[in-house]
Amino acid sequence: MEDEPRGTCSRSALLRAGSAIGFSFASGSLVIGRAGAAEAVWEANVVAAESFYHSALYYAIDNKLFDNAGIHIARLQQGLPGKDVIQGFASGSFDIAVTGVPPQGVFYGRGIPIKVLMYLGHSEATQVIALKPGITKPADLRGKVLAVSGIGSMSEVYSRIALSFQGLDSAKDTQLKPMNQQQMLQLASLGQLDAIAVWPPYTTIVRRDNPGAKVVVNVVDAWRGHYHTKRGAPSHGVVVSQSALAAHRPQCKAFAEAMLTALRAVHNNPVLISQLIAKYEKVDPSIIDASLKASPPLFSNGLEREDQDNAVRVWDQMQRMGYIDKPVGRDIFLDILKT
Amino acid sequence: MASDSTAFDGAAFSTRRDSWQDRIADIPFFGKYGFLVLLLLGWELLARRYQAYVLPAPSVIAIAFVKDLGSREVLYDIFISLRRVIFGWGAASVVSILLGFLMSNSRLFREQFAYLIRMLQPVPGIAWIGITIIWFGLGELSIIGVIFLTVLPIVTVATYEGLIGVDREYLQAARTLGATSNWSVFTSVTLRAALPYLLNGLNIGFGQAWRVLAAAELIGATAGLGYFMQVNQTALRTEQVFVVIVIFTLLMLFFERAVYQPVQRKVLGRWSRA
Repeated sequence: MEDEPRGTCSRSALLRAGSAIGFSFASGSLVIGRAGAAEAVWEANVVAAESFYHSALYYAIDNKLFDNAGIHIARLQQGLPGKDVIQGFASGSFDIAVTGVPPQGVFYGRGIPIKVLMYLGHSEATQVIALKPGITKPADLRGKVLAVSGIGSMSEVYSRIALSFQGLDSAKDTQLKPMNQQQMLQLASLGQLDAIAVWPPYTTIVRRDNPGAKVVVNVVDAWRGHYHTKRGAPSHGVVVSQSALAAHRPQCKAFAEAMLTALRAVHNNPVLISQLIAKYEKVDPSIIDASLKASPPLFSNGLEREDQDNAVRVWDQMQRMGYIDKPVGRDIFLDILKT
Repeated sequence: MASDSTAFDGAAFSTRRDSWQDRIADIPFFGKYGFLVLLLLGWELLARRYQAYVLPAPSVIAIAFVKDLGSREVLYDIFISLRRVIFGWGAASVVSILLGFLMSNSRLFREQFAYLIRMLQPVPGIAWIGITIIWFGLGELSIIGVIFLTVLPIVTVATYEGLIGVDREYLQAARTLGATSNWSVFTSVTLRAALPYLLNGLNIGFGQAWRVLAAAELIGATAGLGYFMQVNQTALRTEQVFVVIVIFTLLMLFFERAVYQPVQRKVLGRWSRA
């Protein structure tokens, strides 16, 4: 990854000041004020997607793992759509993003100086679920309405990659309809969608609300079958901006260590995951429990080699499909836990 | 002053003739486009300090624009968006003009519809998006429906106010000069006097249609300029987002110069002489 070009310090400062104000006003972000905090404490701004894997982040917050490491989460912005995570992070509003693999490739491809410190999970369980009878295999999706959570989102990119293994280009062969999860569920129940690309726990909700629904593609299985790997494509990773890394490297390492501790705490602990997801993402606990049984999250253990390999495969596919303009090099990774 | 006729032309804005400002304004090309040129030059220089995703240079945007115009996909997106605007705005205009006419002529219609239209007026177009998708499904109709519902109150109010605002002296004069039926008074006086309001309402409605289109195409669309913009926002291709802004601007300018102004000149010129 290139170092920040000359003159970008003032740009970063300017963008940070301007966009922090913008994001604070424009969103319902959780601003955790802390008057009189010691200067040694790093006031970190974090943007995060939502998934079972994020239970590690919630665990670390609840158990003050970050505070104990000299990091205060000044702002935690959850649940933004991928596009907004990308723009928010690119604007300098956030120091750390706990976000999917596709945005990481976009950051790198557009020259945004970042490092991926670790992955939270190694087999993202996105599924393409058919809602209408007659769709039993990927080829049946040709010409059908396929709902995804935004172009370039993890569910869209991963399902597109998995469908491409079956000879189907969802961008051309299906009618891709980007929308948020709530709209997906609503329109699915109204019978307006032929198929839907979702992830747990929405896979469970969709199948509960649509008894005839059928999984057409399981991304993890498709991935393993195609690449002959033990793991699927990684889920979310901890991404840190180069400027934050330069200014707060010890705290960035402490953040990764806290996340690793949290990953180990939630690993194989569905009760804890359920409590944390219910608390932070406001999902019905019965749905979470059912979904955890059907698709238990497969947590990673830091920045593992196989996850790196799979992430690079995702970005190669993204470049081939035109999402990003240049190949993503392995210099995007920084195994800060080993430095 | 430049020869082109625009809303800002005329001496009303000038406090003194032959001032230094007038002399600059009289310089060919620079008098009209000087600020724009300086703005683009400054932008070009400033953009060199930043990466393209933060501030793409005008030259980069221009290259992307030319490249995009050569792409069948982008031309298709423009066609799809244009078609949606024409259908939504056109349908809303027809219904609005009819409604405005009925409201101006019938107390019953006025009582029945005036408050409904007033209620629709402040509703932001984006508020209709989720509703029209549920009503009409994921498709063209929901996007056209959003445009329709956004344009409807604008053109209705313009038509209604234009028709009821006609000076009563004109109507009396028309009757004195031999217009015997209500229809002939309407066509010879009322409609002509209301036409500037009506055309203005149609023009404003057209602009609003484009504004709401971009938002409507963000959800559930598979083509169109709003969709194209969303895809490029996600990929942080800021120069492509600017290309869409330029396309929107050019389409509006085209409508203004090639359709609205000629129609306005022709219709108003002919009818005012009459």
